Amino acid sequence: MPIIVNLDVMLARRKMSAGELAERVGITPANLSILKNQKAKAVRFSTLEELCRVLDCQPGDILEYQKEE
Amino acid sequence: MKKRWTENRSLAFTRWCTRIVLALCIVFGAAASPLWQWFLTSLRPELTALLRLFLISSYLLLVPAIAALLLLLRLLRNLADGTVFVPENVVLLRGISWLCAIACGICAASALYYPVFLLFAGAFGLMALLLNAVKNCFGQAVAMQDELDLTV
Repeated sequence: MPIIVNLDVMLARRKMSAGELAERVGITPANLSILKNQKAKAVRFSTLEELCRVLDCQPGDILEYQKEE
Repeated sequence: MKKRWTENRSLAFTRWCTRIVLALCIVFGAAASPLWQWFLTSLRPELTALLRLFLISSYLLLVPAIAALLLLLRLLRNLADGTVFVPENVVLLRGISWLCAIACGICAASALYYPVFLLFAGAFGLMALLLNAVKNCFGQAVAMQDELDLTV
């Protein structure tokens, strides 16, 4: 899929666990896992907003576009 | 004010009606010969010679009818369990639609010796078409549900 979710990188930088991030953002650990494992088909702006707020980053730090070869 | 008619009651009513119709089909299958004999000799004596053909048509029609009712019962059980927009239900609806189309074909062939069967062929054909449209709707809903389930 062309859109890559770099949550693992941001979690490592902020020294935060996936469980803690899920709790602070207000999504279930299962949904966070869907996002981390590139299985998500869509992300709500509200979720993206909370992720950026909790991780203190920009959407571009979490989402990356990779051209399909 | 308490609602007298709820979705659950409607579903239960539909399931019971389906079971009753299934039972009636089985009873008709068992009693087809005497029933047709009585009907033809009492009401349409000029068609008595066609008894064997009527019996063949009836038994042939019973197969898709019973199969469709069993699939419908399975579909209704899924709805009662809360599994609505799932691929299995799309398959069940496709199956029921095809069985209606088969019944339409049998009735159309039977119209060769008794033209009134054309009306039944038309009815089954219309049912097959409507069920196919409903199946298409379910298919779209399954795709949308899948999209929604993977929206974070």
